[in-house]
Amino acid sequence: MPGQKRAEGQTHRRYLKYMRPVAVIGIGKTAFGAFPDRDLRSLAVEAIRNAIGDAAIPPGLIEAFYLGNFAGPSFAGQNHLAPYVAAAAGFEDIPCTRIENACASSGSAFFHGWQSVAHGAYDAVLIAGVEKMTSQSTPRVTEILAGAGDMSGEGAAGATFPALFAMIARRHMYQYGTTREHLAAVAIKNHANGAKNPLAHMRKVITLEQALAGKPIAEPLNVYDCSLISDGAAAVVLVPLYQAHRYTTRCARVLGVAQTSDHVALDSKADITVFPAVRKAADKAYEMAHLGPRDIQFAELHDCFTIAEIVASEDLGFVAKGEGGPFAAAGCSSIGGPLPINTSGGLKSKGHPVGATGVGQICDLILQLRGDAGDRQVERHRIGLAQNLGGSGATCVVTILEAA
Amino acid sequence: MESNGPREGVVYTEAIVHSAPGQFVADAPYQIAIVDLEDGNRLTVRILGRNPDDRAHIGDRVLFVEERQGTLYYRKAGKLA
Repeated sequence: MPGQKRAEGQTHRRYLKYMRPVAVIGIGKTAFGAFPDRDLRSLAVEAIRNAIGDAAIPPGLIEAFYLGNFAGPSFAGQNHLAPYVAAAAGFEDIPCTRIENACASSGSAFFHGWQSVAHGAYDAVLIAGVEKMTSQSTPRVTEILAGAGDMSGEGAAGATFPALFAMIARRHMYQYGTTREHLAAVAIKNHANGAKNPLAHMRKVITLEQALAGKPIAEPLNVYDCSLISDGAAAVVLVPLYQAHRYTTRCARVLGVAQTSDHVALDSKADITVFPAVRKAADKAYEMAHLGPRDIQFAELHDCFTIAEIVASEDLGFVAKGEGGPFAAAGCSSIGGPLPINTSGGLKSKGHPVGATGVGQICDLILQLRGDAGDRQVERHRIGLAQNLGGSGATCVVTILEAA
Repeated sequence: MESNGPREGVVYTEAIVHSAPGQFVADAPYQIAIVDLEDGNRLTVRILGRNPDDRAHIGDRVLFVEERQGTLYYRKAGKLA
């Protein structure tokens, strides 16, 4: 009911007024890949221990835990995941909450954890994301992932997630002249970056010929346009900025973060080449950070499919609508280009353990902010942006971090 | 099965699914499309046909064929059923 909607700007200003600055003081990841001998819990515990160790915070000071996970019950047959994971990592008594927002589950967990620190509920919060996917067959994984769409409409027609993004790609090609070569440029770049990332799932450089000739998954997308089915976990620790120096000399300040939503079904959108949730999350995060797209020095974008990185680069304001393909093909988003995107290898090459992806992106941004990205290190690394997308655009979380 | 919905629409976008979810593996490869219907609604449907001529492109007219187990089947207009 539009008549009853609160004035958005007014709510947002109130929200910003009572907020205290927040810092990420620790990051921890597992490698992403196919790990037949590892279960969901052991992956999550490893990432959490790494993050707590990196933060050098006594575990007893952690006051709340938020876990991003998409489909643990379907993939691993386990529910009640937040306390299940937390207790194994040595955290008892504290409030533990699982957040499910499809592929944006841990981005959403990060947003809610940030909120609880920013608005004074807690002084130390642990956030993790985890997914264990490779124990299921590909048709079963495809079926589980399709559940992030509208199962009554597009799901009943047989629309897989690759198919939804294939339809976005087809329309983007029709409206803006985007080509198969543009999509391939994203895949080639992200594979080249991932090949240099020791924690990436597929460390393999690919050529243009390979990228164009991949096995079709959902035309016009082939296997090289699709992110990987992976196992993995990631975790971070948040505290108020004024306390961060107690634990570390190299924290990351959260300059801006926003979570937005939209209809789940792709066919409910007027123009499927645009994700309104991305635009709105970006607007809010930029406003909070007092920054614009031109101030962003590098980014981790949600390239669940090559076309998704192209659309996100447009919706975040890095380039004009329709220019995302040529931008990637010209090398502008490569390491060494004016705006490096997905220096981690992205979901394409680093891997996409769905529930771990959002927090994983934050960890990858912070590696760059700290100057710890090794062969992948970008030159300008003071301000980075992460964009985490759920489904075909029904949830988006945009986070802007600054080295502090 | 009878349907009271619009019988005709125009393809807004489409894709050919090769890697299908478990319940549709036997159908693959198959075409799906988002279709703009005469009444202004937009739906995701299955396009019938296995020949290259049956393939619907953006802007093509499609006709309703049937609804089976919740899946809406259309075919490209101008083709024999």
